[in-house]
Amino acid sequence: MEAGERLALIGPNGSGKTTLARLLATDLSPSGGELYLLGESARRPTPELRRRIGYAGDRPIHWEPLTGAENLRFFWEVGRSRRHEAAGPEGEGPLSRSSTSPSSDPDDDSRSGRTPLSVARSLGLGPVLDEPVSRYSFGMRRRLLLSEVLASRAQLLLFDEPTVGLDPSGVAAFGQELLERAREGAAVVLATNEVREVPDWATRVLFLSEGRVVADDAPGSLLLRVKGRTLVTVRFRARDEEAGGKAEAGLGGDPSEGADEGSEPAPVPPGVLALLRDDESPVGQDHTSRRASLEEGPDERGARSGTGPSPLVTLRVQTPRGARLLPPLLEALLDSGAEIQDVRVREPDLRDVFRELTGKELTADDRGAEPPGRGDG
Amino acid sequence: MGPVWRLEWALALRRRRLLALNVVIPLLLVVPIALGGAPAFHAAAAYTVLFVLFATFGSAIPLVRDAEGGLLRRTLLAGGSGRAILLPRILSAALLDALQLLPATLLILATGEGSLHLWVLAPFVLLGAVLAGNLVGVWVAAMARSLAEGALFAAVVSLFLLHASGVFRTPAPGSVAATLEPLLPFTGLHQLLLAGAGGPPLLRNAILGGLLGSWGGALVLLAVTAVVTQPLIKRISAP
Repeated sequence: MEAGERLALIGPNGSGKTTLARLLATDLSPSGGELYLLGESARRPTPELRRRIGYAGDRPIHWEPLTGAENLRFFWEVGRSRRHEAAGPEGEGPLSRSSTSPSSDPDDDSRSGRTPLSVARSLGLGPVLDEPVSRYSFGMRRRLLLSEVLASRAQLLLFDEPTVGLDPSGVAAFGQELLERAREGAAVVLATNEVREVPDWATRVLFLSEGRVVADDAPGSLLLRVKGRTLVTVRFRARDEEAGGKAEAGLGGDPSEGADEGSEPAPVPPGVLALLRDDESPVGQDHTSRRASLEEGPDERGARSGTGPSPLVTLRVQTPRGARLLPPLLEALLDSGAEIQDVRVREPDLRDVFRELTGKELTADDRGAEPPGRGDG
Repeated sequence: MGPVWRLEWALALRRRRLLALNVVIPLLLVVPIALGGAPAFHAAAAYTVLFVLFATFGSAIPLVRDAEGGLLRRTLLAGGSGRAILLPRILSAALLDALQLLPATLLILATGEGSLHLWVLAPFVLLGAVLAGNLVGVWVAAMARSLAEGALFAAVVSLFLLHASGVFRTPAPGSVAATLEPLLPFTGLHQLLLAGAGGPPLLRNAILGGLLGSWGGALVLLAVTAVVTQPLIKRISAP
């Protein structure tokens, strides 16, 4: 990685994101091979090397009886590098732009006019900095941890799931500080599955699956793979077994729009790139077996026993037609007697790229509709 | 002073309830013995066990707790060295322990037959002994993998050292145990408390031996610990 580079590690649970981040943080030792960080072997990491690496793990850990400001000061002082203080403004090594000469006072850090306390304030912790961390919510603890790492002198910043527990304002503030640190020359690694901000935050994306790299490219280049594949998700209660089939009949459009090499084969109607169910089975074949393969909740079980409402069905449609697909689709569903429960339209993002490359979902939430508040529709 | 030294004092002052309990509980344990007319040998043994366990537990248990909570690991990953973390922690904890045990020590001297030189000697011998106890606690924490193990190992190691220090018996003159006894860090504390509880008065040589034993043993242990702080902290903080 170069100074100022921002790398996003993306992959499902168990793909190796956290393991790689912990290796880079020297929290784990490699079981084989050699690991060099900032020009030094990391097999026996020295405190000096660790001071040049900032690591925000997935768990915010602090001295609970102390205030947020006291914790900030403590970790700032522990991470203070004597060698780099002596090295002067140019520092040393390829990532030296962040090694400007620091003051010994965390309230008076001249670097970019920002101080650890000012970083914490920009992340919204100003009103609670003098309160004990034991009174902080999980989100506030996350913000404090992120502030400690962003305010450090480290030349390599590592964040494992940094936005977990943050509200939208916290995510935005973190992004701003992150970009600022990268502008100062810090290399940044983000391990995350929250891909929404990645195109803005990262200059490079590494897709991981089962411990292996499956793609390494700029986010813009990766997104080109799914350009024009809008995802339409409809949840409905089917009145009868044929409702899904009637909906498919309504998906017709200009056949030329749907023609795309590599798209789903025969059963997919024109104008649609892929018509998927919760279990990824293609729609348009045997309805009885297809319904049986859906994940069933209490409602579905009730419906099958004849005691509850009709089964809840989720249709996911990938289409270049965007929201223009909705009128015929909804009309067909309504005509078939289906009760529409939820409609979402989402532009393709890195989750879809990952699915295309690996055939796997990034998170369980990516199957079917997204939870409220996360969908674009 | 470094950040860990300041951290330890800030934490101690912030945990006021614990600070008060650490002063009051030794007093509550000492008062009935001191006022109950217990024989000096038994009283001194009880006092010494209390003080030494206070120091070893007080060092080992928080270290294991902070390791389990990930705080030691986080401090290491932030760039703290074993020496910068462990040594200030041991020294500040020993000083705190001595301050917290001083009221109980002075009560023992006040209710016993403590002479003036015992009053002068007491803080120094006490500090040396609790420093040694805290160092033992660090080694115990390096062996333990849970709080329960930390408590068990701290008790076993402390009681063994107390036994070797002549707290529970008087070794036969000329034996190996008798030769080793004055070199152990808890012997001086036991002799001081024995004299303070109304036992045989301390002679000039015994005073010198007590001081040398307390501080000599503690300083040797401190030097050994200082040399291996990095592997020690790595082992203590291992996930």
